[in-house]
Amino acid sequence: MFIPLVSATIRTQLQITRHNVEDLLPVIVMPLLTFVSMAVLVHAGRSDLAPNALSASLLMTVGQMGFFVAGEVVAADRVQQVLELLAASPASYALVLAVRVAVLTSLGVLGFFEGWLIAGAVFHVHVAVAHITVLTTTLLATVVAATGTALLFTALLGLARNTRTFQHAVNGPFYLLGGVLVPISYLPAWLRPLAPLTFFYWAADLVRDSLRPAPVHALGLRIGAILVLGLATGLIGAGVIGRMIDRLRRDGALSLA
Amino acid sequence: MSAIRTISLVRTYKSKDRSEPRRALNSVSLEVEDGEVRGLLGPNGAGKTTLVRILSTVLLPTEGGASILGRDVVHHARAIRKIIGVAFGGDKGLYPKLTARQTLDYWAALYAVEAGETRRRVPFLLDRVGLTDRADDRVETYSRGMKQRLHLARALIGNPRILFLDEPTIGMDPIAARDFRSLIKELRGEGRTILITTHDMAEAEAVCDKVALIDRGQLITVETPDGLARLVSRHERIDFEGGPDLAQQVAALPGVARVQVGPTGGFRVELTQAEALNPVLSHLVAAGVTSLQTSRPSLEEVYIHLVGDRGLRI
Amino acid sequence: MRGWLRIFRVGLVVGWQDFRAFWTPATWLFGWLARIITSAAIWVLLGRMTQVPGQAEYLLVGSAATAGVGSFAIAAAAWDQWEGTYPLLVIAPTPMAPALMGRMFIWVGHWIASAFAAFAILMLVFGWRPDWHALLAVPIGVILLAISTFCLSLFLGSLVRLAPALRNILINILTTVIVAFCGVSTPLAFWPRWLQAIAEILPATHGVTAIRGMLDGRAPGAVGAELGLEALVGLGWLAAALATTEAIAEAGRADGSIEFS
Repeated sequence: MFIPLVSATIRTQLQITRHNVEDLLPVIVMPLLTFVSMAVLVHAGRSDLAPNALSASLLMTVGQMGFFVAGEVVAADRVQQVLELLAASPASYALVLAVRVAVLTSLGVLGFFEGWLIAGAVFHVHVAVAHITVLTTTLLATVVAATGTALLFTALLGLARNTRTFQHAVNGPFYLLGGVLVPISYLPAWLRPLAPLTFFYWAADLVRDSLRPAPVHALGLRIGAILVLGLATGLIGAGVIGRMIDRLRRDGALSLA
Repeated sequence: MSAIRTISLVRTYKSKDRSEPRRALNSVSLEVEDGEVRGLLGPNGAGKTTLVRILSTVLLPTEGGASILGRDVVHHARAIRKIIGVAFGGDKGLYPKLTARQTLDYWAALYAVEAGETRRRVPFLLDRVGLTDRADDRVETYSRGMKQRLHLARALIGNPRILFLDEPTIGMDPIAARDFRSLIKELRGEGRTILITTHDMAEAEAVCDKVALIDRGQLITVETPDGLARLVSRHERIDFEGGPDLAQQVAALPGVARVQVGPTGGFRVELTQAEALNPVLSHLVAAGVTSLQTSRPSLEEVYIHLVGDRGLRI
Repeated sequence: MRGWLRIFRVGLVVGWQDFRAFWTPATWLFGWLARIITSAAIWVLLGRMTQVPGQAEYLLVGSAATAGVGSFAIAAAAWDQWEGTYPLLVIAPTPMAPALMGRMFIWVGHWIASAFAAFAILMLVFGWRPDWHALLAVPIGVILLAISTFCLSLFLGSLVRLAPALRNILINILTTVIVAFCGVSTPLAFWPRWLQAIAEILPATHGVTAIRGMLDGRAPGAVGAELGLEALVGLGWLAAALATTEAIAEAGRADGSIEFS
């Protein structure tokens, strides 16, 4: 039952997303910020920093998909009154949710390729991929981590009264602290210890390293950090969802946090 | 001059699959007299709301014409908008975060009601629709019935001569719907012309001077509620609780058209002449029947008979 | 005119409730402002990373002046359709433009407050100390570019009624275009001539140039000319918005797209 359930869920989420242009908003607009970052870099004669623009394009797109799109799946299920139907079905809602969130965060990876195209086609800065295996592994690990983070996010937002405030509050600080565009060495010293707590930090560094010729150090450790952060947040998220469904079954309704 | 008049009104919509255009209204001609309350009855998709949208100037006809107090809806929309009010049912059409008072202030401005008159009219309307006590609460906290009353108050803010009420009691509980109908009767008493679209038969019977039946974009008939009932059965009928043998006996009595299974499980006797009523009742009582009732056909039965058959044209 | 002002004023009441539905003072400060400041800070740090003198300050001024500009307003244009009040606005005997303008105008206040806060906080955080006399004139530029952005948002908002699902995409494209091409992050001259020509008729271009001119000590006449051009851009988009608002309502009457609920 597991594989048919997973494949049916993937298919359904793609069908929903295909007809809902709002779901694709981050994929359409976030990479456009590459116009801004590349323009600043090229104008300053620092095209060598293009990998930074690409790491930002990837992680901001993945981040927005996670915080704003995947993050709203549970809230949307509540509004459409599908949540109780899902809870009443034999399938695990946490699993179904994880798969749906994974589909959405995977789409965020397109942000990297869009940024790469903009850098090349508009600014004639062709960023070579020096370490393709590192890049591929990093992208996959990023999807896992983003899925875990989004799972926790969607569980919390599913219970929240006003989601937009929280969404707006988190994404800017995450990108700053995670060094997605500018490495954390440019941050005040007291902020830097917080960075490794986000998968953004590890993923941004690895993406940039994969685009530079120098050897990539401690790959296993860094990929491991991304995966551990993703799995940890994902497990917490699954736990929250489980308790939410238990409460729904017990009380007949979900009370707002 | 009629208050509302349509002449061979047609409205078509292009089909997405390039087949024949869909005719939402098919050559509808009707007249509503000044001060009349006209019901427009029909199933979902019959064209009721399309007609109201044309008359309220948010939709242009494809062919034919429509006028409000002699003014054409296409060319004199601005003038018409000053004398009409529209209220439709459901949860939409109100700003949920505004209070009732703020809502009426807002629409008073849009209807160019003078500031001084606004200060008088807003509390008057709130009182009229029974919302004074909740006037400063946000609309999102209102029940469906309260929202509908606010819809009506909003529609009245410009003191319109003509009111369009589109499914105004949809989703209301029976008590709220009854109270709403009382309001409509009051408005009728003020000489306003009201066009109500509904598929609630009780509502049409309770408040309308005349009822127009519409189906698939076509006008089927226009009659008083009583007149419509007479179209189907000229006489009363009898519902009784009894066995099949008794039903067979009654069917053989003079003046009985037929006996069939009734809507609530017993039997229904339809008569061909009024004089047959007392003999049939006597026969049933003599047979020991204690549960019996006489009635005329409801508008619902008329409606199902006319619209369901789709063959009867008057 | 009095009628328009009155309708605009009641529209503001609706807009204020829209704003309160999104933000409380606490969530605006710690939610919205946190996002705005961190986003602006990222660009300033980018400037530092390039190690080009003056680059960080250039990005600071541009980011602060346009902090949050363009957000929400276009979406507000679609809300009357979601709430079912749009057909009622069409039916009302008065023009609907002032009501829609009043509702959307609350976001101008939001943009102006965001910009003022961004300037204050970024100056503190990055230790930037411009000439105080010049800084006092900056609010004029901020207010003017916010209003002209509002006028463009009105125009785009009227188009959004044709495709409400695209409202958030349009907001994001507008804000990105302003940041990328209107002299906020790079000088106008960096872009091709045809793009510069488009930027000249977009809001913020002349306003940001005026603000930079104030801070650089340019002649008042030159600064005034840029402010005048910013005002002209706003007026142009306002005229376009008023025309399209009514035209789209009329088109809606013809094609039957104005539904009651």
